[in-house]
Amino acid sequence: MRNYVIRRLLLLILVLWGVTLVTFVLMHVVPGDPAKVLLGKLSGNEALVTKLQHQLGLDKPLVVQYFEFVKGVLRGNLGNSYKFKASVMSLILERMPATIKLTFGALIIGLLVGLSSGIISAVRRYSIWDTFSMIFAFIGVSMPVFWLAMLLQLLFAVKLGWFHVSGFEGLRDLVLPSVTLGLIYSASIARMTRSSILEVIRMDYVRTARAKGAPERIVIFRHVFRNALIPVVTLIGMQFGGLLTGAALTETVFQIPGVGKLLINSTLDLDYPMIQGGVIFVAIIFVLINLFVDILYAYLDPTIRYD
Amino acid sequence: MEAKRVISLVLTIALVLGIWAAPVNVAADQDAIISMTIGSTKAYVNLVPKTLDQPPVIINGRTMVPFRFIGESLDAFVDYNPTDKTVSYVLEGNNITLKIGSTTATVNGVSKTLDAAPVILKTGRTVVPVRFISEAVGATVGWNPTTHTVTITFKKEAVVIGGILHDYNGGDLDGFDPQSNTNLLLFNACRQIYSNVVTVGYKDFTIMPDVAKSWDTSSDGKTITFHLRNDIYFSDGTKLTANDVKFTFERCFDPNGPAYTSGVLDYYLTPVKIVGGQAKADGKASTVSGIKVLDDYTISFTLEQPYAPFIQVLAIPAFGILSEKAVTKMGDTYFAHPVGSGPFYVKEWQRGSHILYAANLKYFKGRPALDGVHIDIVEDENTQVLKFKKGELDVLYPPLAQYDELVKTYATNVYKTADMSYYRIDFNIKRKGPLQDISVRQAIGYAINREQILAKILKGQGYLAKGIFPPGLPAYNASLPGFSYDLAKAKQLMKDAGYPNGFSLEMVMRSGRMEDEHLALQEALKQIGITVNLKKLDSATYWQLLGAGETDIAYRNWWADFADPDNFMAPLFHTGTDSNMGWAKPEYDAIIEKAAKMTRISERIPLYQDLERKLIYQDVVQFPLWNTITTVISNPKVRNYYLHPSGVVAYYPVYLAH
Amino acid sequence: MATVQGKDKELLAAESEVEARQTSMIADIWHRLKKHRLAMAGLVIIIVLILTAVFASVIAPYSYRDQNLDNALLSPSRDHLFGTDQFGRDLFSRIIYGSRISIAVAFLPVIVSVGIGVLLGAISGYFGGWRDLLIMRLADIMFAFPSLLFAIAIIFAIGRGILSLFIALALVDWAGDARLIRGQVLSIRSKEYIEAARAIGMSDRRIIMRHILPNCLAPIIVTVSMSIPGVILTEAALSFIGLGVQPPTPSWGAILNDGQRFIGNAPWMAFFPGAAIFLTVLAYNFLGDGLRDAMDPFLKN
Repeated sequence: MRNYVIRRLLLLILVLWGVTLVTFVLMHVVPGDPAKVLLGKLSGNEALVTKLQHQLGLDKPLVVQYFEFVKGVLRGNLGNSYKFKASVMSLILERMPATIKLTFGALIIGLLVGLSSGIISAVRRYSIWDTFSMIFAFIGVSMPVFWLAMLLQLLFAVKLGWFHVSGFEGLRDLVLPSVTLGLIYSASIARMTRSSILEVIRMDYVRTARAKGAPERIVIFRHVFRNALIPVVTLIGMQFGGLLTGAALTETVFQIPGVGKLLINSTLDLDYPMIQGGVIFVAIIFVLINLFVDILYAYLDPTIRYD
Repeated sequence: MEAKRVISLVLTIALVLGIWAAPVNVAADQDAIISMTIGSTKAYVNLVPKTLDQPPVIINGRTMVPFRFIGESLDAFVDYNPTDKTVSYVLEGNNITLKIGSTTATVNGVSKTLDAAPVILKTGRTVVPVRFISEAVGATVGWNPTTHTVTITFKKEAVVIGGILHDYNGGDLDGFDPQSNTNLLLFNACRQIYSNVVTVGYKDFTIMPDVAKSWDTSSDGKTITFHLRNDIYFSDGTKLTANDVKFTFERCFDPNGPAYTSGVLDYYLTPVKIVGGQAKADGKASTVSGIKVLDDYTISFTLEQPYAPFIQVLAIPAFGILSEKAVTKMGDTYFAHPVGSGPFYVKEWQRGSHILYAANLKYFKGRPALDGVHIDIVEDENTQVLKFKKGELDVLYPPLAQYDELVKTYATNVYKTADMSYYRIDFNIKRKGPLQDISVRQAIGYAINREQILAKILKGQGYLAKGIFPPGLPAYNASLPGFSYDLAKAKQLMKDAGYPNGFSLEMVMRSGRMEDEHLALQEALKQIGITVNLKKLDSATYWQLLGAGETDIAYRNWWADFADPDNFMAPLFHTGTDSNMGWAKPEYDAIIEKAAKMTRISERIPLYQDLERKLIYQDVVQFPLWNTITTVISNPKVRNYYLHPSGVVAYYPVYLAH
Repeated sequence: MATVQGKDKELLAAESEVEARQTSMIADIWHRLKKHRLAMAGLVIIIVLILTAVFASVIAPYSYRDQNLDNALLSPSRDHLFGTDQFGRDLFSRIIYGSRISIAVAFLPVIVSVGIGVLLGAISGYFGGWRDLLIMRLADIMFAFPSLLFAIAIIFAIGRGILSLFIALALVDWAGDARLIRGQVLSIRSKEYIEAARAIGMSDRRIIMRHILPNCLAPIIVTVSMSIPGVILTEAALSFIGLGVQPPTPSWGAILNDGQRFIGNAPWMAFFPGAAIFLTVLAYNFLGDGLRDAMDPFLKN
């Protein structure tokens, strides 16, 4: 196992390199000249465009630009945002706390609601609980974020006055956006949990355990859960990524200065350094999470062998 | 003298001096006294003579006074609603509405009965019973039977010092460098934190001294010398001198500086033609010879030729005076950490979340009443509305989608202003195609039902435009013929031009900005067979394509930066300006340049009006749609939140009543 | 020569027997499926949606783009079943036409995306080794890209239009499915019956197709049905930015976007497209569940 982890960490670097390459290529394949974008209305003026391109270093050969970028990354310098004239690193770090808080808040709620709902559903299949929580799951998945957000704002912030409508100036402001994102997240977790448990429950080894006379609780906890959780854990890891950036919409409605919105806006503004830096940052987090998920697999199902 | 006497004398003197030295009764300062004489167009407001267009009259034994004049003298927000035929004031949080010809009025929603109904007289002005209006606003009325003079004394509420105003922006700034952009968001920010050489009033474009306390113009009109105040400090404690002013303007010509590419140079300073400016912009000189520092507090600007709106240009927020030391020392970090000398400074900026402006207690015109202004950055319209409903925001610009409901719910606190804006359709006559045929462009004009779009989509927040200049701008021409909605004529023109089956056109638009109007225009043109292919783009690509002239038509607007017709002509129609639509002609350039050189507005106006006619009615390069109105709903305790026709609000005069 | 021919004949006979069994297997599954009420309901709904999309111009009472500003923001009534939007356009007609884009989006890109993911995940989990390494690292790289950003980049690169929209949507999400399937495969692979099959000499391909994949059906079905709203909403986000369908072409996502501003005073504008999406998700889920139940006995082989 240890060798495995070490190998994976080494590969992390490989992956990150791959990410920088792909990002770089993608950004430069995309038709769109950041110089022209920055000039906006004045982009018709050829002289100005050339001048700005030179200022931004865009007229150097691509390979040179790429190497300079990689050099910078290795030193921890992700470049300076074209738009904000501040270092990409500082801009992202500025927004990390908000995103982290929101993500964890959503994760906690998503897990709590999703797992418990899915488990109850599966264990009491076809009961009223099951129907209820499945309907809730379906609604959660199809409901647009802004709708849920607005409902919550209307009810809890305006009518009941328990929270601020939006903003991010304290722990209390975390609640509504976390619940919004968390509930939507919980829907797929619930669904996946339920179906996975049902799947496992029918398996032979469960029947064997029951036949052996093990108490139902042990059967469920030891045998069913550990196996059922595998796809769920994958799902959580998968969706975690979506959370980080899909939260952009929640961030907009609740006025949260997060990384999600920053990345999307930067893409549209063709703020190259920002996009590249942001993607790399996010990449590191993902790869680490996936590593964690893989380790969790092995723990959940000891029969899994990594060659 | 005996000791006792000395002491009592000293005490008496001290007492007397003490009374004088005591803070003046603030309320007494704030009285407004209006005196008018029946039948006379001469009136006095606080002893200042004013001319009325409608004198007070006696109808059926009741004294009636001109509604608008009284309101403006009391510094109320005056509104006239032609649909309902109502006139209203909002004064110190009280809303008073009267209906023409009706004896029922409402004060803050409560009905009251008048002894006489308001009427519109021959002058077009509305008169209302003086007794009622005075009681409604809380003023006292005096009547002199000998001179037939009526006096209204209104004790204004005392200004309350302190409190934080909660306002919002629909987007975030990139930074606080006034030369980095020409958008309204940045202008609004700079208005609060910087001082300019001169500035404009809070409700209109009247020029007021700011950093400069006075100025003289040479006899040839080319050199203007400013005498600056010597008591202005930047937020870092350093004193503002003429060097800072020179630095600020020279920086605009720096080919490596932000103004070079942001439009600040091209739109505003290039037409001014400061001597030596172009040389620096071209990299041939390191300073601008036409800007001379004569001593620490005197600076002169020499122009190549007289430029009538020069002083007004200086008031544009883009020309906030920068501290030479601070900008040079901080380099790029200045962008996020501005140093200004305005009534507020930036205490906190959390990107994407909020900006907090704090009062500059040492501001040279006296500290602002507010302790600070908290600007939330709220992009989502629904959130904006909910925050206002809850009280987290003190003002709300009602989003169009919810306009009707909001204005109805908060009817007593609605303020409006006519913007000096011009919305229109741009025709690209450079690209080969049917648009190059003038009848086609005319057909497009006739096919658009502007009234309906204005009423249904813009919720009535605008007036139909007949030309380029909006009302309020000198050179506004009310007598232009205007345009009508005539579908039959439009179809005929298309047929005559040889396009009975229509054709297709490209139109660029931005996501989330004025989308509904674009769709309505698309539908309108469909009726005469023109298929408009809407290209929904992100902001960046949109401006790029527009700048390169890569669209057939566009729905665009222009807001006045200063109240001079040159501001509507030079940046839009002169060769080398922002859109490559093919409008510029040497003939027009000549007119624009000639008019800019002249000094007397009465001589310049005919030139501009002539050009306007040529561009719109003869050449049909644009189709004027409308001028807009901005509406704001405010919390009743907010005072002096003035909407400016440029769209820039100043927080300095604002205070929060109890 | 004769012996070879003879053997061929045996082979042929065996093959046709397998075929017959397979067709009867499908018939069996269908037979079992029919009994599952919810699944049938789901199937019916999906068929109705497909028919709606195909016959939109016949079913819709109004045009999807004709504006009638005097009739703006009308609540649902007999004339306008779903009400009107801010332009007076009939919402019911727009949703009907919108089903074209949304159903297509729910089918094609999702199936392609899941297909890629399943294939790669199975290869990765089953074979391990360098294949696993390569595929998982590729997946990691894909993960690093927020899918929306990747989609934006693809559309920017290829150029706007419905085709690029589909391509972008199909290409961005396979990584998650790949990981999911890999996880499942890893855990199944180590089971005894797989060892047994390999001992017999069954080809890898067959093992994957007949034993491993069917057991992954459950999570596959779930992800497909759960991906659908995600894809529709991604399409909505792209349309909002201007990279999806161009106005006035309707898609449920675009209609939903419009409805956001009017949720306070015209909630039907956001409710009905939301309901349509909800119905689609429901239908896919029921059908999926039913399919899995119907295939259950065959999974144990």
